[in-house]
Amino acid sequence: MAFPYSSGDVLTAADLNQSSGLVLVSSTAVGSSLSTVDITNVFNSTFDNYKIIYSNYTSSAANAGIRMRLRTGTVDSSSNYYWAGWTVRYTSTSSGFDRSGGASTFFDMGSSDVTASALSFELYSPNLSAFTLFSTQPTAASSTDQYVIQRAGVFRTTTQFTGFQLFANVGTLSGGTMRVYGYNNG
Amino acid sequence: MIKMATWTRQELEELHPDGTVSVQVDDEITVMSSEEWSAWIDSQVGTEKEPA
Repeated sequence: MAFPYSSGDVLTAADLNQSSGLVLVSSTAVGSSLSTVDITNVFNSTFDNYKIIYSNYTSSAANAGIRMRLRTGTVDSSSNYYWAGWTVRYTSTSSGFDRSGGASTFFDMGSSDVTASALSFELYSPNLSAFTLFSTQPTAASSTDQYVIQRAGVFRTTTQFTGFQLFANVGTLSGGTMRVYGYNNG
Repeated sequence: MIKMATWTRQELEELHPDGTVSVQVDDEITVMSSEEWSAWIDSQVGTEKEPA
C-alpha cells in the first residue's frame, strides 16, 4: 500500500516493515570500569547499514581515545583498518588532523572524557561481502574542555562482520547505553 | 617537537587497581583475573597522555 496511509486502510506486515525507517536491533546497558565492550550478533542480512549510538558514558582517563574493532563471532579483526579525521577542542591548542597513515589495528573513533561523552557512528555494509566503511562524529567534555571530532574510514577486505568491540586507548569506559539500529533497506 | 608525557605502570595501577577492571560481552560482565589485569596494564604503559 502506498505511503502515506489513510484512515481506514488495512495495513499488511509488508506495509509495516516498509514503514520502519530505523529499527532498534539491540540495546545494551554498559557497566563500569570496562577494558572492552563487545556487542555480538547484531549485523546480519536484514540490513545493509547500521547506526550505533553510545551515550551518557565516561572514560577513566582525560581525553582518552576511543577505538573500535569489527568482529565475526567472537573473533576481532586486528588489521586492515584505514581512517582519517579531525578534532577541535574548545580550550586547547591541540586541535588538528589525525590519520592512520596506513593499515591500523583499529578504527580511531575520536575521544572520550571523564565528565561526559557520546559517540554516534554509522557502519556501511558490515555484513555484506564488501568493504566496510564507517563515519563518526563523537563529542566529549571534561569540566573545563569540550571536543568535536569527525572520523571516517574503511576496512579494506570483504569480511562479513557480525559485531564490534569498543575500547579506550588508555584506561576504561563506564556507563551509558549502547544502541544499535538498522537502516531499513526498503 | 613537544614530547608528551606518558602513562607509567604506577599511575595506571593507582587509577585501576587489581580487581576493579572488567570486560563486557553483550549483557555479561566479567572481572579480569590478576594475570589478565597485569597484562592489560602492561599494554598501556608508555601510552602518551593527551592534555587534560
